[in-house]
Amino acid sequence: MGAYNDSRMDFAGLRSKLRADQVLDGSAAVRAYDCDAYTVDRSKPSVIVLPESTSEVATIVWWCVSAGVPFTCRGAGTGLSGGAMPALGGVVISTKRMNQILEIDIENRCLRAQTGIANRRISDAVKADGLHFAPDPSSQSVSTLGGNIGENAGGPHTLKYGVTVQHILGVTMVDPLGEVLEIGGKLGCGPGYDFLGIICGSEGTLGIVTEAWVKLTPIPSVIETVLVAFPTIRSATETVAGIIATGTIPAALEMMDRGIMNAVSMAFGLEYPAEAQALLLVECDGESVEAVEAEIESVRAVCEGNGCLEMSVAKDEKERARLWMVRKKGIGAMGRIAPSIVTHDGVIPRSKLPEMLDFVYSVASEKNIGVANIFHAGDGNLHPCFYFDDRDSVQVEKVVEAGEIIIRKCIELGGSVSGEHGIGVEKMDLMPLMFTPADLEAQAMAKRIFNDGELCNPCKVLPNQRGCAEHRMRWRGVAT
Amino acid sequence: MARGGDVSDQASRPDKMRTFADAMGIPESEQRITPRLSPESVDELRQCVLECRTLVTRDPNSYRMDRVAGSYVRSEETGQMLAISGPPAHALDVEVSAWVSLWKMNQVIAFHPSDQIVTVQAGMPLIALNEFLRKENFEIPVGLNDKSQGSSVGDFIAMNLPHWNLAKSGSWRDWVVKMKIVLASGEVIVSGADVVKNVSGFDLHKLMIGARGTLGVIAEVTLRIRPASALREYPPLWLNHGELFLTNREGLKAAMEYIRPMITPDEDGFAMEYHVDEESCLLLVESLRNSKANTVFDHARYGHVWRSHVGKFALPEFTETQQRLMKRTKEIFDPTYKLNPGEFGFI
Ligand SMILES: Cc1cc2nc3c(=O)[nH]c(=O)nc-3n(C[C@H](O)[C@H](O)[C@@H](O)COP(=O)(O)OP(=O)(O)OC[C@H]3O[C@@H](n4cnc5c(N)ncnc54)[C@H](O)[C@@H]3O)c2cc1C
Ligand SMILES: Cc1cc2nc3c(=O)[nH]c(=O)nc-3n(C[C@H](O)[C@H](O)[C@H](O)COP(=O)(O)OP(=O)(O)OC[C@H]3O[C@@H](n4cnc5c(N)ncnc54)[C@H](O)[C@@H]3O)c2cc1C
Repeated sequence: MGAYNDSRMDFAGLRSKLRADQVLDGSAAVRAYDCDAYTVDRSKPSVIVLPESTSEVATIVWWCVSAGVPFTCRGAGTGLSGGAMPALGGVVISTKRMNQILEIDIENRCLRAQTGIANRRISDAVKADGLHFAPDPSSQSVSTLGGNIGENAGGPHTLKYGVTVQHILGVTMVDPLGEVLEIGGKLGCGPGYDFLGIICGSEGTLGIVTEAWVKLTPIPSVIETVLVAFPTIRSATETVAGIIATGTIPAALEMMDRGIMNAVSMAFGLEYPAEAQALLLVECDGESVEAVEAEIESVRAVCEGNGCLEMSVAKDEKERARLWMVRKKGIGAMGRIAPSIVTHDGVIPRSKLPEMLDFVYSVASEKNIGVANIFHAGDGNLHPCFYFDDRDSVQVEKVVEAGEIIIRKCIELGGSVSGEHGIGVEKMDLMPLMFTPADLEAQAMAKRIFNDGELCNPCKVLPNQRGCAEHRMRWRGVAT
Repeated sequence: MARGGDVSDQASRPDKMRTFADAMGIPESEQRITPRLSPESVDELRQCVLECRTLVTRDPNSYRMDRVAGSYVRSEETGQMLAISGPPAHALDVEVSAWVSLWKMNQVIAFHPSDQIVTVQAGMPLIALNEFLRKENFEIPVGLNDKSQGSSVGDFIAMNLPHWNLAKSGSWRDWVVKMKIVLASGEVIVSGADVVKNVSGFDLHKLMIGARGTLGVIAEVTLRIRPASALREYPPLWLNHGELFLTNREGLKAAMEYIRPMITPDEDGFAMEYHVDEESCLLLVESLRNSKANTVFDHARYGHVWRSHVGKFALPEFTETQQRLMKRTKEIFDPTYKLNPGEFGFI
């Protein structure tokens, strides 16, 4: 990778292929694009380009390949592991202007859109027809379809409806050499290798997805939401396992701890029972009132069996929105408490939740940093949220260390380094904790199907890539 | 050579195969005798993979067992890859050093009811696994649930056929969370973890689902399970000739239109058997008599068809891009075309 030198390039060739307003390179712009929502590591691009179509993306990639310039695709930049950070500089290809819905097929319940479209807009477009795009990351009002595909994003309703990959029927992708590939389509994939399965979650390293056919799911006609308060963390985590064991699969099963309640109370004036150490938000949905009520009853029985303090039931949409507030605004409220927060992400088998949460609190107190937990409990997907001051390098180090200790524990318990935020640059070095060198080499083989070079989103996901190690210090150092 | 891989012991043709080949009218002199290996552990399986020049993973009960692969044929006119075709008439002729059957690797390795996860050896018959789970009040709502069929979990996953519960429960991709795989190089690797949600790099196990054993041999699988429900009893896919349509709502209407003449009893009262699941838009039809009718169904518009036994009447299934990517993948994972040569037309 040594041959590429940002400062000597003038990008005139690239500019000649686009309108002036499609290329950004001012100092403010390159700073704005030097990281995603994972702000610990940063690296500036030389230019940012704003293509509007698949063919423009292909032209840009083709130019980058012939000039030997690295390129990184970026959606809304809400990624939490540095996936959209241009690790070796070069060109950031932003999908910001690729936000059109191209085709809606209500009868067959599918829709084709450009991938820069915000997740929420897809659902809004078909709401009147009683349909929605099921993946609902908490960032859905801004995060893009392409970013959701890149990270195989989940959300609170993943428990019942599945993650992004389950809702993608086909993609148009510009491969790392600038060629346009159509994989799957309106009818999904037939026999043959499941390429969509590896493209989803590949963090922009296999090419740039420019358009996608997505599956639309009927909006359930009956929804019941309850918020349950528990006196201890353990009683709440044990309830999670208990609910799942009854066979009820709630649409959502989310947990928030006292730290989150305090933050939300401070920020939005909402009150929660004083003795509550944990809240569980449980939503059940379906087509018949009886079925959904039976599910809620079985949830209620498990909650009561575990000594819950209080159970609030939403009587209408307004109340439902209020109950969801602590989940949806929790992270935002945390952001008001401290100058910086880092939300970690790990998964464990659900039955290990009680043990794991105890561990998270003990690590935080050992490191003397603040932590609050808000997470997809039903999936066993933890999100310990550390609050600190990122101007203090000692605190930054501690937070990074704590994250690593927690991930090690997840793996020890049979879990994984990431449930939904991906590997990016943040967790590359943790991959060997979970995988042997042979496992990782096999993953590298899968990557080579599409990307045999070093230009398309370099230095992501797999550790020990050629020419990446020497840049690590630079990424960490430039947080100014 | 691995235990269970003693050639002299294995060289005698199993009776079942003889019957099938005889029934198909293949002269005895042309019935190939290929050693059958039945490893008992991942390590023995690895030995088989290392020592054979070419090998085919086959269920001992497979109806296709006297012919290698053969499920994909190339069109004589265009050279294009065509859809599934059963043996024997249109099988590809490929030399195979050994058949490997995982039938001795048929155990439950770990069962975690509270995490709703089970790990099994890939040679365990799906029926046996379902029986085991049902006793514990759990189930896996994918697969064909065909009582007459002894296919293993590995087979089902390697085939990844559409099934009757597709709309509600998804495909194997939604239930396999981890796999241990023996690659063509003999390397034993793991992909995934014992959790229901996971983004950790490139998901190799997803690539193995539906790959028909051409990229690696599945040795162990960890599956999500769920508390038993009143699952619909599926009609079996045990058909000598058949077509399986996976389509959309519009396509289902078109497909029904297309088979109507064949499901309407003729003057002798003969009507073709068919099954349909409207929610999954899945249609299984037995023995399409009128091969020409195949061309009536607009695949590009309506969807995919899996067929057995229609030989050169099978219609194109893969796009040019899909073919090219598959070839590239095969060359990366199995450069000598050792695993299941012939399958998908790879020779
Ligand atoms: C139209 C149609 C008609 C059908 N007709 C019949 C029929 O008449 N009879 C019948 O039994 N089934 C039939 N089927 C069903 C189907 O062929 C089987 O159900 C399928 O699951 C494979 O079973 P098999 O025993 O033939 O497997 P096999 O042919 O032995 O194996 C299936 C594939 O899996 C691979 N494989 C097996 N084990 C592994 C492993 N551990 N790792 C990696 N790869 C592995 C094999 O190499 C092979 O490619 C039909 C399906 C369709 C669509
Ligand atoms: C407040 C907040 C809440 C969040 N909640 C959730 C949650 O509930 N669940 C969850 O899963 N995540 C969550 N996230 C993380 C993040 O929102 C998701 O990962 C999201 O999918 C990223 O989308 P994006 O458009 O911002 O992508 P970016 O951050 O811009 O990019 C993410 C990755 O995808 C690649 N990429 C982007 N577009 C494309 C494309 N068109 N083709 C190929 N690759 C592409 C990039 O290269 C990068 O590697 C949250 C983040 C925040 C800040």
